[in-house]
Amino acid sequence: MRISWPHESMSMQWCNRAMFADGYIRACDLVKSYATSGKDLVTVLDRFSLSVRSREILALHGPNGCGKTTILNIIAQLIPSDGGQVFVDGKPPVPGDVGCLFQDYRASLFPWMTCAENIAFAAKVKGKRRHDRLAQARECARILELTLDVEKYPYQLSGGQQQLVALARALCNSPSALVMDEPFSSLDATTRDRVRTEVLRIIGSMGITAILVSHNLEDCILAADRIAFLTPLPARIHKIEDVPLAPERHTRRVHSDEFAVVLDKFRGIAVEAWGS
Amino acid sequence: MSRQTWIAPILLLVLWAVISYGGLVSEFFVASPGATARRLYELAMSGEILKDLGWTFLRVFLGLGIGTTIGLALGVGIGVSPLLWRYLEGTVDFFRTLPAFALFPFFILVFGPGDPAKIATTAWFVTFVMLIASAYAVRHTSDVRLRAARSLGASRFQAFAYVTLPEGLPQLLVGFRTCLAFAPIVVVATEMFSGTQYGLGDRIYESRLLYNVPDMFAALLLSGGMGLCLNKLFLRFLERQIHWARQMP
Repeated sequence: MRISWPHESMSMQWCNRAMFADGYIRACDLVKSYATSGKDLVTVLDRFSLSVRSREILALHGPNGCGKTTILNIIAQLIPSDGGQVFVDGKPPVPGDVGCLFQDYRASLFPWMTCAENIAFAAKVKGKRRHDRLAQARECARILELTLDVEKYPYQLSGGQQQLVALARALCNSPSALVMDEPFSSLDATTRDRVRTEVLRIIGSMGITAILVSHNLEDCILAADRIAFLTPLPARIHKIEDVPLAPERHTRRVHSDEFAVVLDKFRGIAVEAWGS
Repeated sequence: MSRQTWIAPILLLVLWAVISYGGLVSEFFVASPGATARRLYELAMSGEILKDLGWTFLRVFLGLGIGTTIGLALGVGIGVSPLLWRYLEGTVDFFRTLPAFALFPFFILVFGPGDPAKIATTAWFVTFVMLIASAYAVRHTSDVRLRAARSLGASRFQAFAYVTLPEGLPQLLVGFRTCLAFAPIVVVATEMFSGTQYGLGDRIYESRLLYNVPDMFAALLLSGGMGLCLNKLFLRFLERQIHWARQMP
């Protein structure tokens, strides 16, 4: 069902104006509601707008169930919105343009394929011959410096390695942008640090524009250039903050005093956002 | 097969020998292992029982083939369309719970007392097992996996072919394994009715009429053996094809 928005044309103009001019990913006035068990509609997004600069990593931080995943799904064109528009690199994206990394790597990888076949999935969809696409997948794994055996099946790898395969699968398709939905939340604490470092290294080396959704502030601070603090439903951006730490991203910094100060400040903003 | 697998059959064989050679039960009811083996050898040498085995196997094969084809087609259709599922769920449940044997007289009326009725009864049973298995197999694809496929540029059809079908395969094969176990049962049972010239069921039934107990035991051993071999072969295939299914839900 599509709810027609009375000011759609007007807001589109606004969307193209100054504030959004530098936006590589632009989401304008997104509207989305879901039917609940009864006949009620829950409005998850009500004219939600967002702009991500080229080559930046923007983190969306907010409480569980505040519509973060919905935003990513709409930007990646995995679900239709009830209203509003998305532009990536100036064009409305089609499915396949925006790569996705999901929280549940076990449920997102294809367990009946080897890792190389997983990474080559997008090429399979494009009809490339098996030999060629597997060669391409191996090459891709080599460029990303994945230290794992891509001829293995996902279940033969650790959780962290599986998530890296999922990342390689998304990047091997050369997407215009990347969205990551709680990519570290299913990993245990020790793996988490290592995988986060790896993911950031890879994304940094690709120079890809990305949106990270996380309810973990440490992840957001370590990974992102800016953090958008979201309010409870319907999701709205309470505040966008630059992350003041040097762009050299490494887990080690979690223990610095500088980090603690930033974390403290951002916690305050997050609490403020959730309360509003 | 592990070494432990053989313990129970050997014990049973010993028990069988003790009962028959010890004179606990008259040879009139229970043929001795020796007599059964001799009869099995004679029948195999004359080729008679191979003819029975071949015909039974052919009926099983055809029943499985026809039933699986129809069941898969209907099941996948019902599975992918929630609307169709809502319309047909009750009807499917009714026919599914109808015992296949209860339809045998009807199939005899329609097809005559020959092979088609037996095959149709078997196919009927297989159809509904496969229908349910395939409907569930395609209905319960992981949503994240489908989204992952879509985000990699897969069309709806490609997502179905490359994700839904392979993910449902273990469920499908479990259904097929049930069919593989039950199809020989249905075939052998229907062979006991008139209109059969060759078939293990026919031999078992005839041997009772003629009080030819070694014959009956030979045929019984073969029917069990056929089921066992089919099942084991299929398991071997299963382990190669869906080795991943036990590791990742």
